[in-house]
Amino acid sequence: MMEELVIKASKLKKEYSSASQRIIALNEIDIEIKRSEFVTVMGPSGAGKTTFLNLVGCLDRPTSGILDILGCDSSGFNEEKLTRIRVEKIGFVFEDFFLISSLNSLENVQLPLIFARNYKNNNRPIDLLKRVGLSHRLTHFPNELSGGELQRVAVARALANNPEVLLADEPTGNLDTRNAQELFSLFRILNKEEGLTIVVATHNVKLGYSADRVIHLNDGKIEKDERLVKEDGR
Amino acid sequence: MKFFILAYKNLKRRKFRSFLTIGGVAVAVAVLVSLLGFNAGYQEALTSDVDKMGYQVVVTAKGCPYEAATMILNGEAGLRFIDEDIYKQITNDPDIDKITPLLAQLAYDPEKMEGKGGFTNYLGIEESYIQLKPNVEFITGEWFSGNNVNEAILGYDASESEQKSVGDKISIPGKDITFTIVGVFNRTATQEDGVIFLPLKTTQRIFDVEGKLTGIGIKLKQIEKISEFEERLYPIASIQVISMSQVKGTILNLVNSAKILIMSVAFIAIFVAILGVINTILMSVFERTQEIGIMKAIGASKLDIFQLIWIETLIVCTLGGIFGSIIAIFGGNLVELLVRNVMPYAPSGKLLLITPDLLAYSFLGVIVVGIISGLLPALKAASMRPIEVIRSGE
Repeated sequence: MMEELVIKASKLKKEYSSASQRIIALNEIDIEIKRSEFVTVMGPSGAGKTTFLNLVGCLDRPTSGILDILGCDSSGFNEEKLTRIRVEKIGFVFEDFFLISSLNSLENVQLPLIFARNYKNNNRPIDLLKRVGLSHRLTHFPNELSGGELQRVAVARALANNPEVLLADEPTGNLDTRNAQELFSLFRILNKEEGLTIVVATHNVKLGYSADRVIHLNDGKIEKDERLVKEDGR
Repeated sequence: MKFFILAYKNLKRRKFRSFLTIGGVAVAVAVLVSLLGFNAGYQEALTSDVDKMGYQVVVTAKGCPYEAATMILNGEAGLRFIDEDIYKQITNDPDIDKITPLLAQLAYDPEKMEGKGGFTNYLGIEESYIQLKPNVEFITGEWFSGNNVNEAILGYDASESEQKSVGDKISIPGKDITFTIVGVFNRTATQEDGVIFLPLKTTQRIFDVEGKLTGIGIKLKQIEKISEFEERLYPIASIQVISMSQVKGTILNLVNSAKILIMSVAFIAIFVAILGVINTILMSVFERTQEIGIMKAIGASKLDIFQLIWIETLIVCTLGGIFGSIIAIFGGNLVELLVRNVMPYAPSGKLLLITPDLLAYSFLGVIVVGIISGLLPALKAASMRPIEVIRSGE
């Protein structure tokens, strides 16, 4: 049986133009990511990593090409449809955590459930915070948490609506080595235990190579696509 | 946690600014409720005052009819005199139902107002006066024993302020005469509660105005016949006929003119409050650009953001409406005191009539204001693109 494709990009292009210049952030790339893959996207600044994640995360529309997300061509979606996919199918983790400062950890994790009108799953935010090791920080506000804790709350928030894909853009950029390592371990557990498809953009070579697959981007093009064989044979 | 709590938490984050905005709305609502309440209350109090007077028509010496009417309503003296003969002349007019002669006089009392001094009003009356005043009754005592006796009847408030009752003696400052109090009238809730009543002849004698009156109170058999009645009195050059309903209408017109002016100020206050609300919410939207973008990135739809910002505006306006209504209800007495001090004539009833209907309409009004003022910030926030925020945060 063929493995299900979660993301399929064909000739995917994203161009930003201003009055003075035209920047091609992604230049007709082809990528296929299967369900339950743990993929890292690496490359220097300006390589197109964030643009790729923004397109896959339905935060932006491609200039041209086809982008199938979970079997649907998202390039034809209107904003409402993109929002629905974002809230129901995709979890996003940002480099700067982007938690809402007036809400405590628990309320931050509850937020996507409110937007999804999912009021039944009352215990899930608490379970998720327990899962990321923050059961003792439920009522703490962002300014009372460390960088590592903030990012773990952000991961819990990204998982609130039980997404099929977890996207993380430089999630370790503001973390020390130990917290960065712990975060990747958490990603690995989520991928292994729940079969969650994870795509992480990172500069960190060591962590990048802890994934199943590393896609190297440079100047908006795929330079190398490495599938890594782990010690356990996967 | 739902949208309402989320909106409330956002407002709570900027407590002082939210408090000031709510305060601005509250003041605007309080001003509006007070003014509308004043409008309703003044009209009702004035109507009640005029109705309680008993006379529909007053005959006075020629002069400004409204000044005369105001003085009569106030129970004041200082009117010009007419000859008592005129009273005798018109008393048999076929259209007159009841008629009574009046002589209002004023005396300065240096002991009044706890030694500060003040004027006391005296009204010379005949027994026909009480027939024209259906709501005037004795709470104690009885009518004068004669037409020219040194006896007095006190209005309710006069009795209270003088601390005197039946059997006590009073004297008129500057006149070497002592009066025996023979009766005290009940409270009529008109200006006449503060008056000291004397027999007409006695008043003429004491104040040295024999054969003079300051007015004649008349109740016609049919008020519709006032024009014909006035016509018949026209040849008497020294008098004028004042219809109290006309006076009421004219005073209300004057009050309405002032009201329009004050309402304009109130609407400016409301307009400023709206701008304040829009400014506060818009500022908070701009300050939260990134936050709104993040909410959209994690799944908030345009409608969600619109709803969130709109609820914030509604909370501000609703709290402003509640506090404004409370201020209007409890601060009403202060407004009434101010109005009484400023206005040349204020009826004796409650000037500020704040009814549940008035509060409900004002509250509804402020909600509509909230809905309108929330539109711009909410639309602005809803139209933000998450990608721009993410990119700006890179």
